[in-house]
Amino acid sequence: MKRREFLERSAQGLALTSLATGLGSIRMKALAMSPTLRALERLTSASDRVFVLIQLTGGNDGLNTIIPVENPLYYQARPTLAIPKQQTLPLTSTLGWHPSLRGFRELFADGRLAIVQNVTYPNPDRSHFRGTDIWLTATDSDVFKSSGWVGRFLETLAPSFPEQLPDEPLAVQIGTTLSLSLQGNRGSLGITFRDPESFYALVDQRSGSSLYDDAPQTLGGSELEFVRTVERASQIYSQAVKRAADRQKTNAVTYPSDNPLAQSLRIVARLIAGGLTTKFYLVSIDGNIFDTHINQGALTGIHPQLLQQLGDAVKLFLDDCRALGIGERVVGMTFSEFGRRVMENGSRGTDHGTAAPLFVFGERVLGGQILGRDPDLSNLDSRGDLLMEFDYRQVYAAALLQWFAAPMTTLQSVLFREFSPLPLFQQPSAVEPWEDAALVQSLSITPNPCTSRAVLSFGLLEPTRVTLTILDSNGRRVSAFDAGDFPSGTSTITIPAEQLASGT
Amino acid sequence: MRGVFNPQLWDPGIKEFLGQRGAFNADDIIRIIFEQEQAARFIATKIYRTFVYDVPNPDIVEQLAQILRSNNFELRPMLEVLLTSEHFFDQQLRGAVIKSPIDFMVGMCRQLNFTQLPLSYGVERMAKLTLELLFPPTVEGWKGHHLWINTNTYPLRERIAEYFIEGKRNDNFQNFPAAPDVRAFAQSFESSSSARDFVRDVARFLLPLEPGQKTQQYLLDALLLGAPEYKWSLSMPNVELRICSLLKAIMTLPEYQPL
Repeated sequence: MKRREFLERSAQGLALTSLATGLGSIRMKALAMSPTLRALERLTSASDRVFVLIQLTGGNDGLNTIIPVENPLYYQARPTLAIPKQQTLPLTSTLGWHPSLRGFRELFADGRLAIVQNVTYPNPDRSHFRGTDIWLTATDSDVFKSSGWVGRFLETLAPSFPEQLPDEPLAVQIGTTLSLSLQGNRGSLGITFRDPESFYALVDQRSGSSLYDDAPQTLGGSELEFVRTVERASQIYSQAVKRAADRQKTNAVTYPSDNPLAQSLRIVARLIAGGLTTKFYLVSIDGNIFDTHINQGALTGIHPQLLQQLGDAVKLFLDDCRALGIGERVVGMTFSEFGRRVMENGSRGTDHGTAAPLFVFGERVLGGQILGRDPDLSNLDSRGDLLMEFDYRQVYAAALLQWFAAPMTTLQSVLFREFSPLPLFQQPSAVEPWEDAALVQSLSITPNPCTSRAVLSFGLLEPTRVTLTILDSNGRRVSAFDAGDFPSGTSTITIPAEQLASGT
Repeated sequence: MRGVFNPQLWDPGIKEFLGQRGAFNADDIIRIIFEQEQAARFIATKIYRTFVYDVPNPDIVEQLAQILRSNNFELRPMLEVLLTSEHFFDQQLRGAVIKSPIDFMVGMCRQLNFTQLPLSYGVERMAKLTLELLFPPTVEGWKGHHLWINTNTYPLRERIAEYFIEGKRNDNFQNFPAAPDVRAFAQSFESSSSARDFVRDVARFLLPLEPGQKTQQYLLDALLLGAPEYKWSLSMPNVELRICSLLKAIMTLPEYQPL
């Protein structure tokens, strides 16, 4: 399928939900564009966009996160753990938020959060390490891969990796152990560190490692190559990260010091605002702490505290991004290796289950919507666990296709087969190359997507007259104007976007 | 650790486990587990991945499993066969295992004959290198291998090694009671009178793979610190500084991380 066709189809899919007015995405065709632009096209159309992954380790109990307040089966199954209806925060007539999720509720109300219900995969695995591996490698439960979905996607953006390292890390994990999700087929596309300052202080900035002898052609030799790549990455990226952190030394909101997830997201916000071109950030609530087999806690205790940490952190993060002027560039999702069982156990806790809701957040998310039905407690699987409604890879597919404008071929190589993407993100804009092109050397547009205006930068090989044609995502011409004569070299045009409808 | 059998908590009924039926107790369950072919293979695989290479060679693993089974799961015979085998010493496999945080910290002490590492420091550094002693992250244990080395842990290993050589902690607390005796270490090499041979031999001792020409030159420069080569001897002024400089240079090479 041609890319433009694909974008048109996804535009129709997105017509289901209402988009905020005044927000527009611009797709531009320059009259004279060089063929080399095809390579740039992918990067420019998704150039500013960032995706944040929040991993909840241990298996979050979905049923106590979004509570089926009108379902007597819920209250029967959980004599000590069920949240009473009047204690929940209203969500729909049949669902309530856990009271600790005030942050999520506010985000949902102003359209910056969407809920996907009953997410898992066929034949789900109920073991932590296997379940986690599956979510990180985006495989079926009987397939074992040593590369992650984010790593595989990023590899398509950096074809000469690892011989040539990109100038800035494509993925960043705030933490200590590098996640499998960032591992590609030829190495890890991500780096990990705790915070930019200590990372920089830790790395030996002298470049003594620039003189490498050839590694032997043995297994030991390839292990040496691996370590060398990490050494190089540490040097280059600690500098890149520090530059970004120095450009943005403060945040616009105050993050509480006793909220570890908030502290991680605080760093992420700084780095994005500081101009780091990293595309994926991974943060987590570690230590399998969501694995609440014992004394899970209903209104107070471990689980409520974790939910509060999560809701508050994401709300602060998105508010910070908005205040720092990067709100439109950032979206993200939460994920956990599995939900938990419907019936509570004998230790006032819950055991490993299956399907659970996950959350997608950000200004450009199709927010304020719930995809999927309420959890069905009368049709459970043979073990008494919730049945699947959506495959988790449908969310990944949405991220890749809608947010990063990846072509279908990329999707198939990353997820190994097709998954129908859920309508979660606002459409990206595309920069389409024209057939006969010769004079335009470079093209980029920012911010992308835009609200009030966008600035188109382009380089010309020789002086020429430039005409801009603006099309909507269905290919219909919206407006065209003669922008005048431009000299060779780089120039910019500012395009007002207020009048443009969404999806242009 | 001993288990205690409490007959009041035991269900004496017939149970089915891995295809066998009977009124099993705990000892029976354990026996049945070890009767499975996979049990020996599982243990052999773990041993292989710890000592030889992360990707197990199925034939070798099966042979090791067989030895385990025929020795009633005594580990020693299997280990003896493995660690004296030609396979283990194969040039292909030299430096194919990446040091875990324990290999790294304890290894440094052993290589320099150093016995005064404060235990709390060692344990805490290993935790920062993502190995909390006796606390595996999941029931699977530590995945290890490439996961030990990332942009967070690799620079930290370099810094720990640099400080270690001088008898210092790299977390700004009190230093070690004493520093490694680098002079004694150097004296243990017969070639300590020739700078070039000395560098080569120390590198051979500390590293699994002999470094190439460019690296040897880099190490030689680190030893001499500007002095002419012919002047090198163990009685030259500031010799300990120079030996430390060489050791730091070696132990911050990527070559130092494989085993």
